[in-house]
Amino acid sequence: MVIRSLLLLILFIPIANALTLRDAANAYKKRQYRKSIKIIKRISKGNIKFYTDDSLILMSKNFEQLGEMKNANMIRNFMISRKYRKENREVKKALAGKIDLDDLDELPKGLLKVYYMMLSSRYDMYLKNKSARNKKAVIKFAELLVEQDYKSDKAEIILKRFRDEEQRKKDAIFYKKYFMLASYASWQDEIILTDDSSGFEQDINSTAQGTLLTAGMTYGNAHGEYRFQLSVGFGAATVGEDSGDFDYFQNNVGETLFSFTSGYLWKTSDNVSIGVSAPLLLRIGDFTEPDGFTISQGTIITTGLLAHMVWNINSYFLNLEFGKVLKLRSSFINIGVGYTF
Amino acid sequence: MINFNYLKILILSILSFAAFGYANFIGYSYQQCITCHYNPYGNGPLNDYGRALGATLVSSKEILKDSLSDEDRAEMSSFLYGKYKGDYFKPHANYRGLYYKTDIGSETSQAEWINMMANVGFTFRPTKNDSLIVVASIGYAPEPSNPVTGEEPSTYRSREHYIGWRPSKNHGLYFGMMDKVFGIRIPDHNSFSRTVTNLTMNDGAHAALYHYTNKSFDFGLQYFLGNLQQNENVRPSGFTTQFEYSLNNLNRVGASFLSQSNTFSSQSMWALHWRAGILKGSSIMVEFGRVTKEFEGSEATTSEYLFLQNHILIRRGLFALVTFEQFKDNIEDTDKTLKLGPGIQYFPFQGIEARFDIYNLRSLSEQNYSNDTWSFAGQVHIWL
Repeated sequence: MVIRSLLLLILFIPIANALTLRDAANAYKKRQYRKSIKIIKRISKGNIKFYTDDSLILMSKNFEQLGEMKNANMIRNFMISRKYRKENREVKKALAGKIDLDDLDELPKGLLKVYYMMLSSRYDMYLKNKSARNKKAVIKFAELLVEQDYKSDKAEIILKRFRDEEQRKKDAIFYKKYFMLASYASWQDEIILTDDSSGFEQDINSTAQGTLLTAGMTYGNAHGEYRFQLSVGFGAATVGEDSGDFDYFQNNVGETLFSFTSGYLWKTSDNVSIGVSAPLLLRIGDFTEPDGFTISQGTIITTGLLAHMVWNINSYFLNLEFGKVLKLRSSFINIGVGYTF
Repeated sequence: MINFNYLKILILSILSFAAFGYANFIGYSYQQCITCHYNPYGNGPLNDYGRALGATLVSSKEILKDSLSDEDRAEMSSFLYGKYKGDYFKPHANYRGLYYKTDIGSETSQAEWINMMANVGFTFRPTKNDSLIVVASIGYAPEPSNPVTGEEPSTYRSREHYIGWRPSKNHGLYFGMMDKVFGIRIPDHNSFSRTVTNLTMNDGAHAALYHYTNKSFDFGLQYFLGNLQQNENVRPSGFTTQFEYSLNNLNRVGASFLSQSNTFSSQSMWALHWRAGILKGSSIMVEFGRVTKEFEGSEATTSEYLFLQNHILIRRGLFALVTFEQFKDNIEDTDKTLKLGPGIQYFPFQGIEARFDIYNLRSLSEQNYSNDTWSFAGQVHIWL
């Protein structure tokens, strides 16, 4: 009879506990967190030492949902100290940077489960309040779990999110850079020769090439940059008419260019940019006026729109601009090599 | 006034446009052609790795975005979009069509669609490690713009057929009809670096090539008899050599030298070249060279060219590129020609390429003035 009673006790108590724990779990699911905590307390008569790991885990989750993080953490710390005091001491050393994470032995699954909960909980808290302290803790726990290869997928995702977040912040920072550029440029002029006596006008064209010296500044971030540059250039042109009715030819005509260019370039990668620039250009040409004729457009102030590309290799860069400048024929081409300070 | 040199250059530019290798893929850190091609200097059929790379890294994945993963694309990158099967026989087919409009904005403007090539061929690999290969292709090709006098131009020809033997990974010997090894083997056979050097798509030769490669450099030495289908008198024979060295995994410098002659003329040339990857697919390629030609009964003249081409990867499969070239017909003159060619290159799917370029050609001379000319080239390239 006594044996039978003992057997019944052994068999029924766990069932009763499990059922009650299930009730607690159901209450948790129904978001009745206080009720869930009460049920768990009733199971173990309020003495934390008699709580099973499952009931402690559920209880900590209830506290977490209620926002009582202090209690939730206290329970988790209790779980750790109850079973894994020695291992936890080593982990703390590793998290404090006193030893390397990869120097840790393989940790018990139960302990890693608690760390995983702490990671999830801290991460949720971080998402709510963006606290630097929580972020630091999350990174530590995530690195630990990745190292121990316990549910490392989630930990890696979290770490990647942080890395991306850091990168986004870094990428958004605007900074200035200064550069010097020496380049080869070529363009075609369009000047008008007027016969003073008859008023007859003849278009005269030229092809010119020369050297441009440029100093400039970029102001941008990882996504794009504004580019401002001041240039002075010296060139030589071959001038001739495009008509058989008229005879005008000159070579080695000196030309001087001054320009201020501003543009915006989108960065396709860290080292390559593509965009548009608009130069404000003053071109002075030393075109000879034959007796009885007047040259107009010998000196012009004009603007245009250029495609602009930059390839950076360390501090050096290749700069290429081409496009249309008003009052000039055909295209304006500028290609050179620069140095960024 | 008409600048005849300029006119000659313009004509040369019009009818020699084809595309084979993609040396700009150094932007993806791929430095050596043999990684993706059976031919150690690029050109011709892709090996399995090259096909898979073309399907995944190079081509856009916008088409069938949701239903095909990169693994699926790699797997179906074999002949006719099939899966890889059989190691010994690898067929291939290649088509390139070009729409070319010259002298845009002028009364003399002309537009033409040219079927540049329609080839079929195969690679026979009796050994799995490609230590022995046989490559052959034959197909339609337009008549060359500069046909050899006295020859009946054929529109069907084999541009390559050769046997390759690599006794080890480092050493290779190739015998047969193939392109000459010189400079950066770029897709644009209308560039000065290909036309002035006589290295366009119709300038292949029956040759013997020795190739040495290791992680840091490639060396090639090629002796060629010329194209044996040509008359012996006009067939240029000679030798060429090239050395390329990797400064790091994104920078490769090199030098080439070639000497050839036939009964009527001789030609020697050298070039210095540099390819730089700017990561994520973008790149810079530069080649500077001089070509000395001497025709029977006349003095030798030396030409000079500078080729610069830059690629910017806009998104996977899509490149913006700019080609800048400078050419001096005679280095003793100050006259020169500039060519600027902004373009777009798009690989919408494995085996398909579309490319659009605008070329601005400018003559710079102290003797006369010429208007710029503008031309447009739109290409479709399909390789299966």
